[in-house]
Amino acid sequence: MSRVSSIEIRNLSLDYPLVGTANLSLKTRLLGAATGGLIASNKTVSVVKALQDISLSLCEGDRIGLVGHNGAGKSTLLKVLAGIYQPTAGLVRIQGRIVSTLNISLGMEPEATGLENIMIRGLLLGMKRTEVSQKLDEIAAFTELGDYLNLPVRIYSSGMTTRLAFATVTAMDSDILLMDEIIGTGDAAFMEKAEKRLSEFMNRSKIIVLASHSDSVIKRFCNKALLLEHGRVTAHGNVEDVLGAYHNPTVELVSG
Amino acid sequence: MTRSSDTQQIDQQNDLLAALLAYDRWSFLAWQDIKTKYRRSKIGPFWITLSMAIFCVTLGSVYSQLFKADISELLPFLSIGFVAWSFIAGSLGEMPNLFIDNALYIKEMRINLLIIHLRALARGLIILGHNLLIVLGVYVYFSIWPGWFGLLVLPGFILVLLNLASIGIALSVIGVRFRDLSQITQNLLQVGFFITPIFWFPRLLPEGSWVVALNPLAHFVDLVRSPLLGHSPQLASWVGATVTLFASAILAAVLYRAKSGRIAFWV
Repeated sequence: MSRVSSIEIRNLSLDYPLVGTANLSLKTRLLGAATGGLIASNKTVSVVKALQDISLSLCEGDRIGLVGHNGAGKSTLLKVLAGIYQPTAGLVRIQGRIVSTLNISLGMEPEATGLENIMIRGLLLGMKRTEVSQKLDEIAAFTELGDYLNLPVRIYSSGMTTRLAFATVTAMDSDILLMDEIIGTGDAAFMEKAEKRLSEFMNRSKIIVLASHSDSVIKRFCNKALLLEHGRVTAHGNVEDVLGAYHNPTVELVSG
Repeated sequence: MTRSSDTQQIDQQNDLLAALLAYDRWSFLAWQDIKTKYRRSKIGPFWITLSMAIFCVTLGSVYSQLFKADISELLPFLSIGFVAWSFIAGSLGEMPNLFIDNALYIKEMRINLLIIHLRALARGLIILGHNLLIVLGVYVYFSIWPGWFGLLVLPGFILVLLNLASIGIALSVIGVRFRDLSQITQNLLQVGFFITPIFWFPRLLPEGSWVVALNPLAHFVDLVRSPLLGHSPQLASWVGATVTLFASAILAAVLYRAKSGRIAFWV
């Protein structure tokens, strides 16, 4: 069964609540209530307007790059798409299986063996046990870790851990792929093999949303781009135009 | 190969069903947790069983002298009660910090929060399974056979389990927002251990005492312990636990519906 994958966002806004230390204490709250706010009164939770009024519609074949400065809302938008953050307002409708590679080293259990970690990560990423078992041999072969896979991950070098994580994530079948920066293994000898696997992985996905600070990455992998500034979309369209708008803003932003 | 499509509309109503259906996931992860936690020790989770057995035997022999009670009555009562208590208190104790301990996952991937709950509950069940050895030891040593009343442990235990699940959901949601709930809970559980009839008999209380009647923990322990000792739990325990279940289930449902979407921001 293959349903058409799509992403539809309309007027999405997201306020990020800043829950400070005073807000985190139940005792403070009760004390405040008991003393009529004399001892503690910190009722307001301030928010950051992380995303404001974003509309976007993507269909199969779209590979969109998210560009913008740090804190512009790229990662937040990815997290909304991944279903981690619920929007404050607006509509998000997504069809298809989502795989996000926001943090590939996530969920490594240091005491578990490499093979066990492949299973754990696969399950957490949303695969079924049978599905992971089917892919286990292929993943294990790709990592080239051999007998190390039967040893606990805590003794691995960081390069070995990354390799394991990379191999597992890229074994997933996704309709929609969400990436925060391009993933890699950082291992020179392994680089070429990893790049090939990554492009196969990306080609299997019907829609890609990729946030990156690198123009060359965006130019290489994307056929569309979206520029975010202070949580708003300021440019949207083909890659060249959006990157142009990013680097040479016609209207100078003088907000503090 | 791809699962029959996921419309990733965030829908809390289906979280419970989806979590239950993902049993292969949380049961495996729970086993894995136990396996890795005790990998470097020879007898693994039986360490808990061993220390619990020592605790029961020591406390049982001292208190049987203190209370001038028959050790063959007190020790089985205390051991089975303590095994039940450890499961209950252990499950409740980790709930307020449950999401905080899993913050890495919650912040980086779409995860059904109830799967995290079931994983924790399953972990507790595995430990409980190990501790049943103590119950078995008590049966053999004191030649106790619970008989038909023993079967009542099934409905009783299910009632306790449902209670723990719903109280746990409520605790975990509040615990993310108010970080001192964990300390408060630990405190209450510590007090609870002394005011719950575990190492003393409820019959020692004066008639009409509220200490047991208003203590849901006492009802939970009674529902598990009495059948295993071969008699029926108090009617008050069934009623008390059912009332607690209704109250906590409603609270859990309301809290989860209202706040589960905020948890990724709070952790």
